[in-house]
Parts: sequence; C-alpha cells; structure tokens
Amino acid sequence: MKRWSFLISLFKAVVVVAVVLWLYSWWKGTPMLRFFQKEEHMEHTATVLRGVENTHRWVFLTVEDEEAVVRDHVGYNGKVAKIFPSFYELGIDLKNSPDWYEIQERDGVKTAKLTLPAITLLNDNGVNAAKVINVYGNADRSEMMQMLMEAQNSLKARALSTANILQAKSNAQTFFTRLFTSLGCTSVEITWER
Amino acid sequence: MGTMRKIIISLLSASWLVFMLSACQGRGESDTDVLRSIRDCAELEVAEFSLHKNIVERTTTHVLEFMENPLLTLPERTLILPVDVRVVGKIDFSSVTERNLVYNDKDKLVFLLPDPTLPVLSVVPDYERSRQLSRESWIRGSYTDAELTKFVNQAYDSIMVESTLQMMAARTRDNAAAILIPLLSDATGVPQENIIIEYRSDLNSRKATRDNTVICFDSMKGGVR
Repeated sequence: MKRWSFLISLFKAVVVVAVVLWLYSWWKGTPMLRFFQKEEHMEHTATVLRGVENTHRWVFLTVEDEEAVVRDHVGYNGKVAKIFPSFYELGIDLKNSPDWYEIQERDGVKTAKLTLPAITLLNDNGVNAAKVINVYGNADRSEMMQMLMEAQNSLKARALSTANILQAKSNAQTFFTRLFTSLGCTSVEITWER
Repeated sequence: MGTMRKIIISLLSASWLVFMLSACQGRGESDTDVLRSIRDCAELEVAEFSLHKNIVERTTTHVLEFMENPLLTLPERTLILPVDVRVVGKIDFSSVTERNLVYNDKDKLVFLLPDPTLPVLSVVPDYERSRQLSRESWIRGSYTDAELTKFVNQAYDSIMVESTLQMMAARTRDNAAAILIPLLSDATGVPQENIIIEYRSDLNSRKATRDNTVICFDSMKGGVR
C-alpha cells in the first residue's frame, strides 16, 4: 500500500512538471518536444563564367513541348515518373558559311543572292532540369540521366518534324526578303543547301 | 410556426445554391494554362556564354529536440551538385522596321539596334559526378528527386548577377555590330566607316526580370527617338 502511494505521488509530480514545462513553452511560443527536425542550409557559391563563344545564328521558330517518362525502378517504390519540359530553337547556323549573301548590281538594279544552310536545331540540350516535374518515385542518379536522354530523343524528333522545318523555312524567306528589300535591293533570290 | 420553418429552410437552400453556382464559376480555364507551343520569330544569336555553378547544401537532422535544444543529432548530409548553364545573347529583329534605319547627311547610315535579350537555353546538372562528390548514406539520409530539382531551381534563380548581365549585354552588342556592319555596307553601298550602330545607353539592368526562361531588360519609356 505504501509503494502504491509513492507511485501515485511520483506520477503527480511528473504531471505537474510536464504541465509547467508545457505552460512555459506555450508562453515562449516554442514547442516543447520535436522529433526529426530538419535544418536545411544552402551555401552561397559563386557563378563562374567558363567561356564565351561568338556565334552567328538566326532563329526562325521556337518549339515548347513536354514529355512524360515512366521507368520501372528496382526497389520498394516500384515505378518512377517524371515530366520533362523543353524549349527548342529551329534556325540556321551561319558560322561556317561566311559568304552566305552576294549582292549583284546591273543597270542600277540590285539583286541579293542568298545561299542558306539547312534548318537545324540550334540548341542541342533543350530540357531545363530546373523545371522538371517529379510526379512520383525516386530514381537513381544514373536512371535520372537515362530518363533525361529518353525524353530528349523523343522531344528532339518531334521538334524537328517536317511541318516545323517548312514553317521555319518560310519564316526565313519572308524575313530575309523584307530585310534586303528595305536595305535597297530590288529582288531577293534564296537557295537552300541540302 | 410551420410556415416560419419552411421560409428558413428555403432561404438556406437558396443561399446554398448561390454559393455552389459562384464556386462553379471560378473553375473556368485560365489563359495561363494553355501554352502556345510553336512560335514564329526572327532573332539573331551572336554570343553564347557557358556558366558553371557548384550547388552546396547541408542538412542536419535532429532526432530529438527539447525546448529547441537538440539532444540527439544524426551526422550531416552534404550535397555538391555541379550545374552547367548556357545563356545566349540575342537580338530580336521582329520589331525592327525601316524606322530603325536613319540616313544622315554626308552619306552616313545609322542603325538603331534593339535591346539584347539573354535567355537561358539549357540547365544541365551532372548527377553522376554529384554522387561521387556528395556525402549521403542511410543514416545521413539521401536526397529525393524533388529536393534535387528544388536546389537546381534555386541555383537557376540566383545565377544571374547584375555585373554578369551588363557584361553579357555589352558583348552581345559588340558581336551584333561586327556582323551587321559588313552586311549593311554591302547591301546599301555605304562604306563601312560611315555606318554607325547606335543603341540606347540607358539600359536599366537593375530592373532585369526573368520571365519563364527569358531574361530581358525593361524597356525605358521615352528613350527611343
């Protein structure tokens, strides 16, 4: 009987201490006990300019698209799904063809003759990794790269469709005709390289 | 008493109906949900900048905290993630008209160059290298895909420093002038010494804004002739 009363008084003391601590923490505005508290801290690092390249490209069409990729993942969570948004530019790269235009003058009539290379994708890597949507699951780092490659291949193929190339070509023709006409040329002839 | 109750019930149901209708009205499709996927343009890309950043992040996990005093702490997990970013210096020609070409006296030609834009074309994190560099294990905890994307996104937001922007804009203009002067000279017959590429010097880069992927300069009001 004596032991019981001792236990009860101990219990009462614990309850009183807990209530006092809880009141104190409530007054301070902080929780008393916390479990698995994460402290994330991002370091401020410098941005390095690795290199500058002089380019000469004309962009005539931009394509925005996205692609969902699913993969079977070995592990407890089974599957991984991600959505990759992309941004591709279609146009011509004139870096290796410095003589892309030629201006002939006959009897005061100026004619511009342009020789343009074929329409290509101007940016090879169009997927923005900062905008990837992780739908469910976690992938390994190597799986991540594989999924990215898979998404890129299909996105590239879709961006370089025949309709898009034709659209870019007609945009280029309209633009260069307008440009050289406003600079004083009477007629503009455009030939495309194969 | 019965009629009173009926009136109250009918009023309540009417207000409920109005509430439901108003809730339904807001469900319409907004314009921002539809992306215009294919866009015509005419832009001249004259410079390409490759930037590099090492993202460093540390997480400490407290298993038990008592009154904000950690009692039991797990070893720290650390992430190092190298990211390559490519930015392109561009000049948009879609707004260029004949008003941008001005013939002065004495056979001089002045071309008003539009403001350059600096879009980010690709963000490529090196996940394979990051696995070797970072410190993570089952006890420290590993990084989920969502966390990695979040950190890359934060780095992407902070990558544009004002001084870098200024330098990039200057470089883009120089390169554009180097390409445009011979072209204008050949097409119009004006010698190259008499061609002036003019641009606005009051470029306000403090107000540089990032709109989706495009970093552009706010155009100043009343600055154009």
